[in-house]
Amino acid sequence: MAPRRDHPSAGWTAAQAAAFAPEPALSPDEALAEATRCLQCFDPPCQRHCPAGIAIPRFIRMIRSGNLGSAAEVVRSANPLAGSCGLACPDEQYCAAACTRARIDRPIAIRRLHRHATEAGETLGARPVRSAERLGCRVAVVGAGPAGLACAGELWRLGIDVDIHEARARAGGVLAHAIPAYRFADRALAGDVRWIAPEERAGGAGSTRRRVARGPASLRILDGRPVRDLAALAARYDALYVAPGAVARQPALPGAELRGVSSALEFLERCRRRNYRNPVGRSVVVIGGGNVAVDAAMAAVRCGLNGSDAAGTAVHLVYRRERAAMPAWDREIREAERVGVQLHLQVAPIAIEGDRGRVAGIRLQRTRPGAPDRSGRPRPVAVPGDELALACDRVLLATGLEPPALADQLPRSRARWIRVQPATGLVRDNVYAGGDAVGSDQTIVAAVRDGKAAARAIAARLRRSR
Amino acid sequence: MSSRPDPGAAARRRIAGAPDPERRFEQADLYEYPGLATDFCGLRFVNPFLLAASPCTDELAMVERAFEMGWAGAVLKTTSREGTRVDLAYPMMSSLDHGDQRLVGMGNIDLISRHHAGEVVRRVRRLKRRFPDRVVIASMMGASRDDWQDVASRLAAAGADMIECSFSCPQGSMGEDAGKMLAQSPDATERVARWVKEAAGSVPVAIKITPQVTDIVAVARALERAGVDAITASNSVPALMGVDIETFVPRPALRGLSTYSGLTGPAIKPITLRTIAEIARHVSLPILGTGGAGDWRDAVEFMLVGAGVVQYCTAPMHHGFRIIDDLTSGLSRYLTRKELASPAALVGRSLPHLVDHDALPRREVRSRVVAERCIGCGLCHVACRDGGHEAVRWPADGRLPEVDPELCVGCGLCLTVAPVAGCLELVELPATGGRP
Repeated sequence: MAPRRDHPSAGWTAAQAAAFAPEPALSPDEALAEATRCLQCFDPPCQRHCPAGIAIPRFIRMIRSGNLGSAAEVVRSANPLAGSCGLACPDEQYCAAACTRARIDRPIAIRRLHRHATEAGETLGARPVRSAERLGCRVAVVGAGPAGLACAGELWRLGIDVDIHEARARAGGVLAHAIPAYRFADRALAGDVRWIAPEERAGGAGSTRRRVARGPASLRILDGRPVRDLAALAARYDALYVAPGAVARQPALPGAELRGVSSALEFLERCRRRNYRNPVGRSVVVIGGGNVAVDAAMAAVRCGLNGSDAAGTAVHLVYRRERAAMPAWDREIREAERVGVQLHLQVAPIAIEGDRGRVAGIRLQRTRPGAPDRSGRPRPVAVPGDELALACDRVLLATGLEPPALADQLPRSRARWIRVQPATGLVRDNVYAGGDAVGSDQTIVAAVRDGKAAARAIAARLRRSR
Repeated sequence: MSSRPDPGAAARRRIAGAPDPERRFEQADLYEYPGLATDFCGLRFVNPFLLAASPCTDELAMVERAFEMGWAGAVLKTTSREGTRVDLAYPMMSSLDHGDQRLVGMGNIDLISRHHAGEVVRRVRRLKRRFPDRVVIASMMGASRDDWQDVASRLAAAGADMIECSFSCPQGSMGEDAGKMLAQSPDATERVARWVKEAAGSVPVAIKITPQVTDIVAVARALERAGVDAITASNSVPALMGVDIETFVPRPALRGLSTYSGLTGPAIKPITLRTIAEIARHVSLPILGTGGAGDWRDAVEFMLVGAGVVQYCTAPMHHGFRIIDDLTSGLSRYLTRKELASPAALVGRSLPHLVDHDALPRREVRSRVVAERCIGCGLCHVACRDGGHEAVRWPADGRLPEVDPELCVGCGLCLTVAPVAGCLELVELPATGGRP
């Protein structure tokens, strides 16, 4: 398609236009045709591979019969973050990867059908199903990110009242602050939050940093209210779910204090705030091989496209292992390459070079694969004397995440995550945790799985103690 | 008793006894839908969806599972008096495919149940004990007055909510006259229906008829005269399912031989709709609609032309009892949207719109291409050129066809071939305009 001159994508490559534009919703005709392709498998593999456990063939059957309200109800009841997942769930990692139809031709576009149902449900007034039972208990959830919202939504469904304590002014965690806006629409998150805590904010949509409760008493979000003492909170409530998310881990890298060096996560947040109009300079180096690194590299390309220089911004992604060992999803990596990100594999940073307090470049050392490490991947071993340098005016560090300081009040694993019982998220006594802070998959739907599992464990516990 | 061992029985027992992963995965919570209950023939149905007499209802465990999943009732597969020979031939099922869609029509050369009346009596008792709020209908057929009355009285005594009599099984020749279905003769229909009514006492009797008659109204009137309580309309349609053009053997092939099947499924829905409508327009008997209903929208259509409740067979045989959640939730949402209090409000609602051909309005209509929706495929041009009135002109430049109002008669063929909704429309000419 030829770019239109009045469109911001004028001058972009086709790959850039595709990557930085929102994915269009399926038309009703497309949705019906795609739904008709579904085989309606018995013991559906897609459903087994959905961390939220959505009854996928079931809602697809309802799309077929024009029963969109019920289709949305099925999706929403299984996944409190149905709107967000409809836009951003990597279905090729989960349900679609297991789709039986792929053995005939290609998998069903499950996420897009999920989105079709969920968006139709917004106007049809689909509601999640709530248990008739009321347990008369109140649970505190720390953090209104995907795991916290999912846990709260599920607890509410199970008849338990919930207070969500959120330090920031907006609910949603990474969805509200960091997820690339060109592939995500705030209204999807707003729809999810509106369902989870349906009342309008007392101070109106624009109010921030005000200690107002949003939602009815049975499920309210107390935002702009940081939690400091988990034990005190656990004592005030019947149970506590801790889902504070993760922050960037600071690598011990000489020059990390220079101006122009920041964490990739902070960069992604700044991009969202400034709608990808923040200047990024002529050359950006991103260090890391996970999805945060790839997102940041893509966002840097997107920001660079606003620059006056026709050449745009050169974006380098530097990773110390080989490509197969990158934790980022292959589809994301390939997309990053298509929009112009240059991959530098098997190179490790030695130091960031400065010039009058600002980043000027980075020194790198080649590595080779050594003996397998604990992760089973070959450990990168430095090749002495084989160094190279990249000139750059910005360095973004995406060398891993760790829980925020609040998590120090809970036992940690060796990798510094909050240590939990895998199936239930139990930490100790009446304290549970989940999401990025326990080292989950870093997807919305993995957080939903954690949140739901903990909610069910909490409900079982409260029923027992009643 | 049965003439030879049933190869499916062991497998069916295994399936019934095994833990069912479908329940684990499919019984995610949906709201219970209120407002679907409906009264029919003095019986209360929790919703208007039933399983038809078919393999779906030939085993107790299957019916129990269907009830657990929310089906309001079941017509147990047609039974007969002890000693009746049921000589099945396998394979019995075949599919009418269309493009990549399977089972647009289903053909079967199945016969009645291998379970005789005594076993069905036991099942009726057990089902009514376990599921007092579900409607258990026993289907039967006989070869003599004795057969009909013996079985009907035993089923009535067992507590069946209704007795359905198959006067129309098109496969095999188990009726009164070999090779002919009972329901193809109004006289035989009336006579046998009276026998059953005599034996059934206060239990309502429904007669399942065939659409394969010259005058369906004559059959319905015969049933009305006989005093039956309801009509089940209608059974499968006699059909030949296809021929293998390599081997020359028609389908289904049984060692080089084949026979006619009973056709069911979406392919026969229009036939069923017409049958129901014809009966509903001429007699006042309640109707159990069956034959081609696949989803909840089909049930709505069946009810709009006169059915009070709707039986399903091919759809659950294809996709399982699990379709019930879409049926109930879909109908409930539809009733809410249409602001109707119950399914009963639908029954017969479309009949005033149905008239004989000579009562149709003679108006002038022309088709028109909707430029904004046209995708330029030219299908309307081809259809009209070779199958209409050569009225859809293909342009010399571009791909936007145009309808010549002088040639167009408004037959509507172009709309039927339109691949996207709204690319063509019919517009009415002013009463005085148009051609003479």
